[in-house]
Amino acid sequence: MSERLPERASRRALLMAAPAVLPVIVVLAGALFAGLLQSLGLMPFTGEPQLSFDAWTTGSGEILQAAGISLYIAAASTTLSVVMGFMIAAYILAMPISGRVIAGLSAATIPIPHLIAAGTFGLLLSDAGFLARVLGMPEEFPTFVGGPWWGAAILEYGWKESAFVALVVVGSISRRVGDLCDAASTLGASPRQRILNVVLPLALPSLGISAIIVFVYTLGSYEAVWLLGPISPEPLPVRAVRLFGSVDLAARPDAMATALASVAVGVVAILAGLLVLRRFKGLR
Amino acid sequence: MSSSLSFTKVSRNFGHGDVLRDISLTVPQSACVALLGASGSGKSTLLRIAAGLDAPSAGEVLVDGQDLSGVPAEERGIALVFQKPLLFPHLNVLDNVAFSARMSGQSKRASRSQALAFLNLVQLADFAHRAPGKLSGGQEQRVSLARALARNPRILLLDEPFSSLDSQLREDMYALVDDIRSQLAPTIVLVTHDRREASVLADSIAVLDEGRILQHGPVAQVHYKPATLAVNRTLGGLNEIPGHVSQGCHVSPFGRIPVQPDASEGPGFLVLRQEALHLVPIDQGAVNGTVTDLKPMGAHTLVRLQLDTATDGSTGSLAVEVVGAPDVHVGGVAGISFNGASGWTAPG
Repeated sequence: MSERLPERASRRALLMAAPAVLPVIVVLAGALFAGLLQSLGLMPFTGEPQLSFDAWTTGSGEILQAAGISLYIAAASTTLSVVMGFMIAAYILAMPISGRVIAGLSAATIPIPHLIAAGTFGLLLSDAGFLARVLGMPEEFPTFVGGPWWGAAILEYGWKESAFVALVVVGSISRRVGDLCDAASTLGASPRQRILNVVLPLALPSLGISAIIVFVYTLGSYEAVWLLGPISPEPLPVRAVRLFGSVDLAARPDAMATALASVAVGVVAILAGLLVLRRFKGLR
Repeated sequence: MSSSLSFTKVSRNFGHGDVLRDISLTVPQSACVALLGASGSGKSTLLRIAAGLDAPSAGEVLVDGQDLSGVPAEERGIALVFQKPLLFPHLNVLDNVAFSARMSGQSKRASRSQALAFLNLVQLADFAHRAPGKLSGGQEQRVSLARALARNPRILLLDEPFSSLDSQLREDMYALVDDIRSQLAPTIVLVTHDRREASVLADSIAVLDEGRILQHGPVAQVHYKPATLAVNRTLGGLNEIPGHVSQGCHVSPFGRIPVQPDASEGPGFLVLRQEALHLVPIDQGAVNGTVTDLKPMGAHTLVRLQLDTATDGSTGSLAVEVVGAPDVHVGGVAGISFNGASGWTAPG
């Protein structure tokens, strides 16, 4: 009788989670399936369904190019966010009083929508923007907005997401890192050594998890790259939205193929990230 | 290499009040001093100040006569073993012990080789490549001790490092500290609330209460010659017999007991350790008493007695710790004798 208790408990847990999990599964699976059908011509906006791989084959070059750009933007934004986020977290943990101000500013950054933030970065960093005017509009002012390196979009993601990374890191290690840093200092570790040899290794799991979240978010995010990037080439989400909103209804399968490619890249990134994170299992 | 450690009029204020008040204490080179006190008495704060993890509001910390004000913790050469082992979870046991050597710039190979010697000292060399999470509590604390010793500290501070261990493990750790003292002779300051631990490990005990040192002296002295009743209670003394001191004797229901020559004349408490008293047949001791309680304490029994009323109408109670189970019962009468030539009085 007692052997059945764990089984019963796990069934009860499943039932309790079902109201939250089921809608997610239904919506996600339904959306992906509908997207797949549309990309294969089996759910056309008008006309008869007809199986076709055109959206995947004829547009494959553009999809690959868009995927490359998206990966570049996501990788650069994630790297910037993780580095800045860790530095902010280290400051918050090391400075009990001024760190609270930084933590408050970081927390205030998070609810600002990316669309607003992107608009603000556009006003700040464009070649006729606030910064260029403050500097006297020099000709060599870098092309952040609409430039080939997507500088403004990456900086916008870095600014917003570094606050998120910092708060995740602080939340996950703040309870134990103080004592361990005290121990390290009595063992001869300088402040820099404590950050590199104690805080950083302890923060790696939370940095890894937040990096996966930031990477996948920036891979699929639309507003900042649309507002701050060049018109061409396009990253995956911009291409998908443009094609989906096109007056040419026949472009819908291309839009869906692009969106599904974005999902596939995101899934691969998540799986790869989780594999890496397994190494830090003992630290969580 | 070990050093002497001195606190000179050290105070610490946290805003809501003084945690430490005018602490002055000297720990000679290679000695072991225990800071004994209840929770909140300020003993851990004093240790953190010595380690450089906290700064005093006033006063100085001196090592070999040199003022450590403004010297950061990492440059003091003072190692601290905390109540929790605080092993770095991302390093294995060997690398935890090698941490200080790595921080001082030694190569990984040299650091590990030195660390292995200290793991041998705490008899955990076989666990060198284990993760800290796979050790028992006692093993973790041993590694923590080895890690602190591997720093080659001038002074070793122990902040209740054995308080979470079971009694057998504690005994093992006491033996280990004895070994370390005989091999390395470090200067040790031990913080504890356990009077037995303080007595077993330390050469002298400093009793702290509400941020003040009430008395600092050899182990026997603080037990049998407490400066105040608070010291007597902190050291587990149960008997404080009110009376008055007259012509070098304490007069009370217990009788007229010679006390220390410099005792002040007037009211005072006769302090008698319960271990120094014996139950004897009626009328063969200094006083008779009626047994009011018997409390088994393992191999010993604590007997509480109400003293017979003295001729002047005064009375009192006493506790006597006897070996084994005494041949008395609650309500029975027994004599109480005192095996010392003289007693000790403390002011009220």
